Amino acid sequence: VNLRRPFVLFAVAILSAAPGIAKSRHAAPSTAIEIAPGPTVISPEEAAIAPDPAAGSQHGVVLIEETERNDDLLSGWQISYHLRAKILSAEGRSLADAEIPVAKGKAGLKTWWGRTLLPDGRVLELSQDELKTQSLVKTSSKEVVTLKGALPGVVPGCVIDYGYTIRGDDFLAIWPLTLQRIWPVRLIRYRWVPNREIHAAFLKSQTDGKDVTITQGSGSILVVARNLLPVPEEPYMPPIDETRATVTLYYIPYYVDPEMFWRTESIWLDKGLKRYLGDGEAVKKTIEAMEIPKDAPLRDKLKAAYDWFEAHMKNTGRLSAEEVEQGDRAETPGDNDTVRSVLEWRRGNASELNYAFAGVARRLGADADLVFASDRSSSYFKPGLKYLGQFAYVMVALHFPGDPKETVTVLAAGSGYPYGDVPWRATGAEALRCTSEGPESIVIPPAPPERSATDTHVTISFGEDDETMLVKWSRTALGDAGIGGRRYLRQLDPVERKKDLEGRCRGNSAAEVISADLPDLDDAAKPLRMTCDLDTGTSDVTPEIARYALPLTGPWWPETPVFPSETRVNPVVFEYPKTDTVSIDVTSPAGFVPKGDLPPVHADNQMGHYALNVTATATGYHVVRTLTILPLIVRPPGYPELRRFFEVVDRYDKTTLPFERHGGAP
Amino acid sequence: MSRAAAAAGALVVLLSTGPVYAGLPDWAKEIAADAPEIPDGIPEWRARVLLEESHVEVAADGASWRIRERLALQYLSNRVEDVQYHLFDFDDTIKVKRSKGWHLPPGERAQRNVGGAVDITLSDDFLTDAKERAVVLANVRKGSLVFYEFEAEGKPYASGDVIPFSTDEPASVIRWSVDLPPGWALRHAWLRGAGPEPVRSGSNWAFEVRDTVPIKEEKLGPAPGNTGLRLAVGLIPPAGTSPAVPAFSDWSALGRWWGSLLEGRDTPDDAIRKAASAALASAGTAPLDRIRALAKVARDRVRYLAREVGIGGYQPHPASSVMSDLYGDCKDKGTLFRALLAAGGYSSFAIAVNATLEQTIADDVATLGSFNHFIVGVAWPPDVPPPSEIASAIVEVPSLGRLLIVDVTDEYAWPGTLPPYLAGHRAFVMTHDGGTVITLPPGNPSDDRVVQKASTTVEASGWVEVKLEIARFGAPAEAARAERAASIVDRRHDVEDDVRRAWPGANVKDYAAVTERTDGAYVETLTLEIPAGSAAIQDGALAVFAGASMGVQRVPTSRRRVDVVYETPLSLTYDATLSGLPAASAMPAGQEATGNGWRVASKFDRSGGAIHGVWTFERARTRFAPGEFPELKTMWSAALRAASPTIRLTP
Repeated sequence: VNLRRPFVLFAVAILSAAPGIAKSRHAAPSTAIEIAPGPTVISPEEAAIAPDPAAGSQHGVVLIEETERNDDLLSGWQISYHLRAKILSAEGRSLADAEIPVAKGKAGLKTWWGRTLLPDGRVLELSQDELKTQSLVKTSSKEVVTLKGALPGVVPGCVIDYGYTIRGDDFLAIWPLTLQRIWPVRLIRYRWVPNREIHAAFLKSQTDGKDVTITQGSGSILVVARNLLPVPEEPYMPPIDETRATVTLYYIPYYVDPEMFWRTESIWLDKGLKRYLGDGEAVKKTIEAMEIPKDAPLRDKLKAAYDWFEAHMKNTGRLSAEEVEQGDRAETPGDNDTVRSVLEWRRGNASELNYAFAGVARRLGADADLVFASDRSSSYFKPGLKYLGQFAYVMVALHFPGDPKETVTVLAAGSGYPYGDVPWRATGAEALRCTSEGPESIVIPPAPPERSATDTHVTISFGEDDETMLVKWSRTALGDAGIGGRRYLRQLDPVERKKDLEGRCRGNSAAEVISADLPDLDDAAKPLRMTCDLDTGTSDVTPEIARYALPLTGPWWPETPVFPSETRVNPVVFEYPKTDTVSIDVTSPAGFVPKGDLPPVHADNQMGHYALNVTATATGYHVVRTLTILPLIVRPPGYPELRRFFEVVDRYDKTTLPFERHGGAP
Repeated sequence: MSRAAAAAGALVVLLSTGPVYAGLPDWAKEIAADAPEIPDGIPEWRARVLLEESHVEVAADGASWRIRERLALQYLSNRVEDVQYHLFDFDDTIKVKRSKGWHLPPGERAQRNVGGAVDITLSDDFLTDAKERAVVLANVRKGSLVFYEFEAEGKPYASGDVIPFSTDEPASVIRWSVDLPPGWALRHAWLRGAGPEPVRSGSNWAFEVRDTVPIKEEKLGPAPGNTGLRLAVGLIPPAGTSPAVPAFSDWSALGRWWGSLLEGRDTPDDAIRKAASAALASAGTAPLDRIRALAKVARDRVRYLAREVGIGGYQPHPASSVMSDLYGDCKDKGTLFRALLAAGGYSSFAIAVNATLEQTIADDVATLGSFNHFIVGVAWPPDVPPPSEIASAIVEVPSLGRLLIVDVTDEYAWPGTLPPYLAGHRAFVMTHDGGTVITLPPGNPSDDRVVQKASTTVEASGWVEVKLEIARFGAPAEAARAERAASIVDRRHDVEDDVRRAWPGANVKDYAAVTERTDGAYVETLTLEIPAGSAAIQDGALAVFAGASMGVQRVPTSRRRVDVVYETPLSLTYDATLSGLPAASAMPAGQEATGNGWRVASKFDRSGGAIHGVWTFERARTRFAPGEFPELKTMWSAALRAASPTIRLTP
């Protein structure tokens, strides 16, 4: 697999680049800010702010949010905080319910002010004495509390202004400073003075083109953001945290040189793999059990080994409800520090299986490395963030002798995917390959659409007197289209599974499910297959009508994207390229005949392929509809073309099959 | 730190210690010895309750209760979390004295709970004293028997309670018992069905229910919290004694006690009188207009903020402070409303009700445990007939006359309509000399209704324009208002999506909404443009009542074992006018069908070149038992068929 770039969701960064926070006492820009109460009058500019739901300001606007966090104290930390906001709706009033995170109670609160500035000029104060203590957790030795206060007299149109200084002693290793909120923000200022004894760093993301500045001072940084609007929620958008301007502030473990973080961790992980594999005896025995022809080409050996793993090694993270009920546990017996017990018991979790497969691959002669990837449905791996807790997947990268350096095959042992494919959540975004020489950034491309395909067959007929519609449909789902569903369904107990399956069969309709089945659920070698037999209970065919139009769509229709909005702010991100094919055979209602073939429809461009063929038959209609979605990501400039393509799809998917009464009017 | 994070942190602390082996207490040993066999295969329920027991020992003066709770569970499945915990609810009136847990794994020695006592606040209330004592057990699996025991001392505000006899899993035995002081009596009543008679032994009363099975939640099904027996109990001291804690011999006694907490709280001050005066200045002269104007002050200006601490769970803050702070909970908002009414010359009554559970009040047992919400009954002027539009919010109360029920906590309810969560509930009206139990009206289709008008014009080009007005009243209006209040953008998207489903291929040209029309309706208007050849007019025909069927909620019934329950009665009216039609367009035939508690009709007429049709669907009932599912299906089928006619746009 050549690691092509068109699928990259997150810009590839240099693995070592992440700004640290200077500790030097040399001249540096000042980052000092003063956190103090705001004016006690509403300025003309503040007074002029009105609700603008389209711009995200239905409920309120954050005028100023400023924070100073000082970790560089003899003990603990001090935070000074100030919020000033304009309230625009009844719902927005909840912003005046202040919660102050003083873990140890009022003793931790050093200063407080809180006031409501009313449109008529009056100012209502909430004194420190009026703050109430609310216990959150209490043990025999410790109590965690919060202080709460509700600002009085809050009405839409008012401005609230409150702030405090608190002290605490817990340690925060990493936290994201999200600059785009659910409401518009006029000004955010955040000053951080990290503990000088620990490496501190920050990473800004999604700040390009936005008014965000970061000033590094002597032992501190100041983040200033101005006039940021909320990120609109749109269908098929990236994870929300990957769309908002954010600065992540964090400490780096003391034992790692920040400049060499990924190199150090990568080599350490590779050494860990070698330690885990031990003396190689267990791996050797396992390979012998595979009975791979010795003279087979290396690629064939690796494929055979992978297939053997899929067939013989149990992924304990993918047990079915029945297996768990029979006493199968997620843990692998024996010593978990080496590969021996995993290979002897032929079971392990996803990480253990991939570590073990890396050992097998190396023993077979391949250049095999561990690959760590994030789950891009929730977050992307950011190399600039020197933090190991970003990964959800461990996989294996194979490089074959003679191949270009950048050409590798990534495998996810024990995943249920065929050789060469990996879960879609690990594709399309940057991943970390850990070699013995150091780290490499790679992007795993998604499988081509034909490997994530669904094939749906539907037969539709009408019951006695045409009062009901009877539908039999079945679907096979390959690759990503079926593996996730299989895993989910297997984990449900039979009652839940039946309920879930029946829900899939009837979709949003109220049709009665006569039967539903998952014939190959436990056979991972076969595609996921479901069969459904439905009675809709109603039909629109009545004795007085002369013509009848039957929609193509129903519970059997695959999920198809629709993009009604003419504008787009976020990229469109699909789960994976795919092809959905639906074929429908309709038997005419009693007394009706099909009007004839419909003109065939074809639409093809770089976004995908669409075809709809409707032919009249002796008994009704035969329909074949195919949709292939090609891209993984479409950025806003490409949105109009994408939308045009799906407008065509939507328009023709709403085709109805015309029938007319045999012999004319009833 | 969030509550969830705090709770998770607490559990981590607890789990940092290993298991400690210990013997089971005698009560647990007996249960363990008689524990039933674990059935083979995959069980329907992952655990069953072998015993859930609460015992109360009342001190001689009634001032304090010693409370003991025991729970024994048997795990039937391996698919359970290996860390299990039980929570004991308490607040500032209760001091937990002892909390323990034991785990008896199959074939092993018993282990004690891990870690010590942890108290967690899980409530979402802004301020609360409600807490949970957590006891955690580790390594739980199929065949495990777990036991929990809590002991506490409580100083209740009153002698009585409502006790649920239901659990989340099937239960072998649920028991509640009490030891009364000498001379005390117990009054009890089963709610939601007939329960067994108590077993008495001296001063001990024991109530026991066996072999219960909870229902599972289903779409349009009964809420699990509204099923299962409940027991209302009142503890009555000997006549002539003055117990340290109020004991309510009847509802009047409860009303007098609660009334004393409300005393003076609803007195209007200058600010309230000024607010009332301002509201009334722009209101009409009719009582309903004036009451609404005052209700909107409390409903709209005061933000809801739950403050359930100590006696504050029953006693409102003074109306004057609520008016100045502009925040408060249901009692605070209701009390301010009462003060505004007083300033406006209307008398009113505080009403306690349970807004989340049905059937919590027993006629013969007065207890505070029946309630969790505070609403207001406005004395309707006796010389003015109430308008029909408020009929389902009016209650006739002997000796008090007609009361208009208003819930100013519900920011989306139109004063004069009863929110769906109150319809049919029993409630308690407090009066100066006590009070009385009432039943709130059940609601009717004319209150909860949607009226849709579609004016469709077929252009010569073959394009079609639809002007649509959808007016929602009652519960449908509340739901729409709440969605719009959360996000105007999302509400518009949702409505436009519905419209595009009704007229496939249509473009929405404009959209507007009126949140609260003068008649309380939530109104949305849209203009649609349907290009020639769109799916909505394929084959040259257009649905007259496009989208009407979306308002008829349906569920599969063939294998259903629980009632179909609708939130409210419902009336749907779809008034369609189609103009620009070919002269030869045939007019559909009207239809009519009726059944037990429902009616469907469609009718058509022609005027000039236009065809006018009206489809109506009325469902007065909210509940259909499984034996009535054929009736339900007949209703659905009739509604959909009556809504299905199309009209040809081309010759």
